[in-house]
Amino acid sequence: MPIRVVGLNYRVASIEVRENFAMDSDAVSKTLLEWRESFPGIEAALLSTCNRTELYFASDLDVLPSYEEVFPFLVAPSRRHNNDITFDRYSDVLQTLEERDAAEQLFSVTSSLDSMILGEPQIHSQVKHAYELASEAQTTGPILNDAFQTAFKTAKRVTVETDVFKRRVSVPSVAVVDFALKIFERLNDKKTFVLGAGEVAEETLKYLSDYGARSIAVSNRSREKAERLAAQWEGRVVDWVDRLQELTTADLVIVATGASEPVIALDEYLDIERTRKPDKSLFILDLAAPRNVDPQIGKRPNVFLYSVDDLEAACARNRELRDREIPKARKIIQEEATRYLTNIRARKSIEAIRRLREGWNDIKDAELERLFNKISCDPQLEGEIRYAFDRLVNKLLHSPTISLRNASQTESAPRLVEALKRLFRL
Amino acid sequence: MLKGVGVVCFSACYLIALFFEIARLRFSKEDKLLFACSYVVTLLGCIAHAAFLYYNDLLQNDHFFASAGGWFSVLAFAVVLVALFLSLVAKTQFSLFLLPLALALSVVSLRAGNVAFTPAATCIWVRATHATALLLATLVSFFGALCGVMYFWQRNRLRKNVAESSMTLPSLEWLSRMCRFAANASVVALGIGVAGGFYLKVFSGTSSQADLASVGTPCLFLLALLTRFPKRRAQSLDVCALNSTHNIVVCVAMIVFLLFAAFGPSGHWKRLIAPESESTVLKTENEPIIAVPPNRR
Repeated sequence: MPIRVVGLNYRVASIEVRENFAMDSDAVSKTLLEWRESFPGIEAALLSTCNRTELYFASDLDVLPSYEEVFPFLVAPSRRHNNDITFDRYSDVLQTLEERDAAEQLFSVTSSLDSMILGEPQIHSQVKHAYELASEAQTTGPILNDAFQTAFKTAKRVTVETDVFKRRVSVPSVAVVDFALKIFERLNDKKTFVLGAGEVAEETLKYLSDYGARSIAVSNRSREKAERLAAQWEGRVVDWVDRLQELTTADLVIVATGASEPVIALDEYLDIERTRKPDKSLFILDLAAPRNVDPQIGKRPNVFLYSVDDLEAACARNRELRDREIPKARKIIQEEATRYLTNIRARKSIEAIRRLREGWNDIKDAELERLFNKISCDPQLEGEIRYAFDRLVNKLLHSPTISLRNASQTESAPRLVEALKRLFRL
Repeated sequence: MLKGVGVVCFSACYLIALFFEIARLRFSKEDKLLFACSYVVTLLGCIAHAAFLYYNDLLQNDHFFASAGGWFSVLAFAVVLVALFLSLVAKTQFSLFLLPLALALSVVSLRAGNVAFTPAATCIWVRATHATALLLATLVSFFGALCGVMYFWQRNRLRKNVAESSMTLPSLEWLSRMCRFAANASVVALGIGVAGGFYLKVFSGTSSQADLASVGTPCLFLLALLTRFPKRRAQSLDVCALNSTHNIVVCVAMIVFLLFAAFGPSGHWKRLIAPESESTVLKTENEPIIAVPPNRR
């Protein structure tokens, strides 16, 4: 088995359990250095994020360490002294995979198909960082190098060849990309006004900021909270009583207060409408429940009002479209895993063929040496004899070489290589 | 090498590009490839078209748009340039709508081939300006109408929270700006065209008779001019929708007037480019009027 993985993730382990295994970069480096001392010649890489801790290890050697043996390297260094953290205790939440399954796991994780939030971009850089740490600790080799390079290539293919990540599924991202950017050509010259200073408003502001929103004003009943949010996005604070005045020039309005009554009523908006430019669109995002904006306002000219329900419907639609693409992504992962394993097997086969050929050539050279010591012949005849011996060796080795090369495409390759090694004592 | 290029060459390019544009609606996965193919083929057609215009001496006569065929061909060329520009800027399939227009104009140019403006000493430029301005007004309003339809389509999608279909539309803001531009530009072009027509009617001394085109165009101009100055404080007015509607109405009306001028019983078009009093008119059975200017005889 060239590659194995042992670890746990958010699917099977709670945060309390994952805390015992979470490691920062320093802890990962330290662990890998310890690994190198304990298991010289065995490749390893440790991926530790808030959602998972996974140890990938591989070797050309016939015997890999058992999962129980590698378990201590999975535990955070600060908790290794804790006698309660044992392999037996956590064996039910530990995921152990070998060969194809292990390769597919790495490729899925890197492609963000195994993430809590499908398509989250951070995981790609986290895997890259884990690989860099392993390279620095010199615990990587040909098998893991190939595995990680194939994983990055797979992630790129999944992104380019499928629409899995093109569909946005969170309410704020859908609001910004699927609605705001369909109304406005760009956001950097638009005025954004936020009513409320909670988490929802903050998350939406993050997306708006990512897409270029610059001029931000925040209003909240608690001025302190408004100031905090405004400072975070380099915006300004508007007094709660002046909020309607601010609406006269705003382009995007995010409403996410905890009020039980509308904070923008229809008659209030009609007063504002008289002072707004007639061809200026107003995008209102009412993310509060109960709704904070009178729904009748959405029927006014140039007003585009969306509630959470409207956005949820769009999210659900996108989720459905995205789910249709997941099988395509899985197929890419399977293809790449097959290619990767074929390469690994081919490498082992090539090595066996090389050694077999070397051995036979040594025998051939020794026999020729013995022959020419016994007989004397002219150089032309000697050349012919050497040529005949070369042809003989090549012809004898031709069939096993072809068989091994063909077998590298299948799972029987390791057994065949093993048989070859035993037969010819390679 | 490009000397022998004909209308068929660049029209074929535009037709192939149009097929690629239609294919983009169906095969969204290969959108980039199809777009590249469409763009390259259109560009090739554009080069062939430019060569055609150059080698056919259309731009090297004493006056611009010397023949009706060249006049339409240059307009088709302009439409293709606009399509190429918008394909890059607007990132939407404007070519899908503009290429058929360019093809139609190319066919018309082929049909109108030998008909030339009579070099009437006093009015040739006024005639050319009158015709060009009105045709430009039609083209600009066609573009505006296209943007207007897209504006209403996009607005409907956003209002009703309808999923985006295979065709990506530009933002409402961009469409609204283009509608405003097209509405203003079409009014200016209409104004110039109407002024030219008025001058011809009053000062040229050519035989004149009122018809749908000569009466309808000034009325349309006045109506279009009125919509350019909406009551600033009329807040219930959706200005973007007004501009879109303006363009659609002007476009439809102008197409009707142009068709009437070209094929109607009053012979507006024929009178404009080759007044009987000023040219030799050769009329044969089942053939269009061929007016041969004196210097070409």
